[in-house]
Amino acid sequence: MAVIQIDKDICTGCQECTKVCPVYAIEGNPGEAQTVVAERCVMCGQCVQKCKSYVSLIDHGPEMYNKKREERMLPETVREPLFAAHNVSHLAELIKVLDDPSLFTIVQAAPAVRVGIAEDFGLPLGSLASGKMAAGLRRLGFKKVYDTNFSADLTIMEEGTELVKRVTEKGVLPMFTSCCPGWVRYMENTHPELTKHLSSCKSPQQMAGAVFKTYGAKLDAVEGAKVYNVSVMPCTCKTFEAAREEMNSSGWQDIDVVITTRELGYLLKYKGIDLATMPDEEFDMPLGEYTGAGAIFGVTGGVMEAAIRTGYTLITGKELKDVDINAVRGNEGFRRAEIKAGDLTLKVGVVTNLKNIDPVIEQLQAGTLDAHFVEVMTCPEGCISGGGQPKLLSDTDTAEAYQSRRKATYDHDKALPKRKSHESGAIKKIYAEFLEKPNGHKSHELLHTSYKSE
Amino acid sequence: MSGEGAYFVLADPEKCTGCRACEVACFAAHRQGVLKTVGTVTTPLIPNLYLTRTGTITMPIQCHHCENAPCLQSCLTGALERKNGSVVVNGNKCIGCRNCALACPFGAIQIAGAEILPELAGAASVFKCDLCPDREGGPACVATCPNEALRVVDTEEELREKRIRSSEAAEAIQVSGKGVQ
Repeated sequence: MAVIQIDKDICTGCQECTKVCPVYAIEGNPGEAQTVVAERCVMCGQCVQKCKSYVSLIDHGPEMYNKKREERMLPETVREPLFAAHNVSHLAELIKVLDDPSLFTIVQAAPAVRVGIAEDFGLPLGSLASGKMAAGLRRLGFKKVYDTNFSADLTIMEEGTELVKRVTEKGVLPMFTSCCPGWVRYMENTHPELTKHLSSCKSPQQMAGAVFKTYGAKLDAVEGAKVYNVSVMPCTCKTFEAAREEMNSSGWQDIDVVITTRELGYLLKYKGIDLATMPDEEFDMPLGEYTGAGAIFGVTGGVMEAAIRTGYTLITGKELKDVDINAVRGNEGFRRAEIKAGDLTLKVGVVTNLKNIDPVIEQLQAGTLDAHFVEVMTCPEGCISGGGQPKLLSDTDTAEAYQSRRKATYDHDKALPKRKSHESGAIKKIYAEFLEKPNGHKSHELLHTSYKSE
Repeated sequence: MSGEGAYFVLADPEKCTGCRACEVACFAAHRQGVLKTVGTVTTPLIPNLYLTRTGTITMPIQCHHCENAPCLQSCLTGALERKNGSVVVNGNKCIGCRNCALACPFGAIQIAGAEILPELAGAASVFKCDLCPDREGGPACVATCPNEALRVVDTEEELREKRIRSSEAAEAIQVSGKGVQ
């Protein structure tokens, strides 16, 4: 499926996108329209964020703008500039579905969406808008406003348990995170022999999809077949992940449609909803409950930090006192840390920006990567900098945007009453009522997956 | 920046890749209601400088803030004025007569009227570089260019440097000439 495209009518051939593409998937001569090589592209959308070649009234004429907006299936209320590099939008499908009363629509939004979405409504960069976002989603008519942060907590339970198992039972180590679909695709494309190092956990999006159509449907007293799962993501690759043929463990396609943070902005404006003036509302319970650990998935190092908060307890049976793991925070390309957990010294690594992965892969191949657990995110600073996040008009604001979104994420974590995934009431409830235990039979059916290997 | 007509932004076509970042940043820096993200834009993107492409090069063209500015002299309504050495748009006085656009030897002025957007019929206005007088750190286009292809030219300073270099060259010739004797 084509996810990222460069519009030949608009591209100036400046090749700025080629500088940010982590996998050299953009080809073309300077000064001529560039092409995305779909086989190599990991759909991270950094080119979409970078591209400034816009549909110009002066150069292309007024008709071109309308033509392009229609071609890209964007609502007629969209007035913003359209650029050459763009992601294929599925918003039109969602708009149709929202008018279909026969479907039970459930929406989830990723951790990073709530620190980005308000920017497109005139609020300062990195404004936290979890409550306003929940209210806005409710106004759109979704039957349930659940949350990817809930399934981020669920992912930690599964992944933490898997890690402890691999460490204690001499499984394949180091284990790598698997929530970033661009990273997973990169491994499958370039190093299928190494995919055994990936955690078997699905991403939070896919875990939520499988849970909402099974357990969620039961709670909401609807048939799973009637559930239509919508996901709002900071990521342009999530739509590809949702379409993977194995992502149907609920009995149907687990996630029906994915839109980006920016597209949620289009949708709200199309329906006349001003996010900036929304009241703060809660997510629907129980599948909208989350802890600080789930909230920090959106920043580089966040998955690792969340995993340590719970992993510590899984290993030692005790509670970690200081949950701020500053050793894994930051934005350097590859960070290392050692965490004492009882008798075990847990060696961890965090990679951010896929451009920094090659030396790590080389160490892995050489057998010199001395680590138990490594987090990898494709985008420059994790999902807050994803290809589907609000796009900056000037790159001079990029650093401020990332920093503000990161700060908002950590502030949100700090302000939440619970900051460890295993403390979440919803997590306790789903294991008690449905899943039994992390890495159990039911979990393996619904929440785990396998990858292309040799 | 002070002094009459001594400053303007100049592009180096050797470095410019034609990415249009300067145009987008310029637009963002000048339009009411446009904040930092693309999603806050509700009006057509018309910048104050114009990326131009020939067969072999690209570069943005912008106002030189001429000393005896032909645009200023040709304006019928006082829609252009000189302020702190720059030629800038003065309020909403533009009637869209296009005199300034034709008078400008660089093509650095865009009149936005019905010819580029039917909705603008009868509400034409003039778009040109104002050197971002209120922006901390100088012009937005210069700051945002990923290839450092733009710079603010300080004419007086550059002339001074050239004169010094010329003198140094003369001096070097004299010194080496002595060595020959």
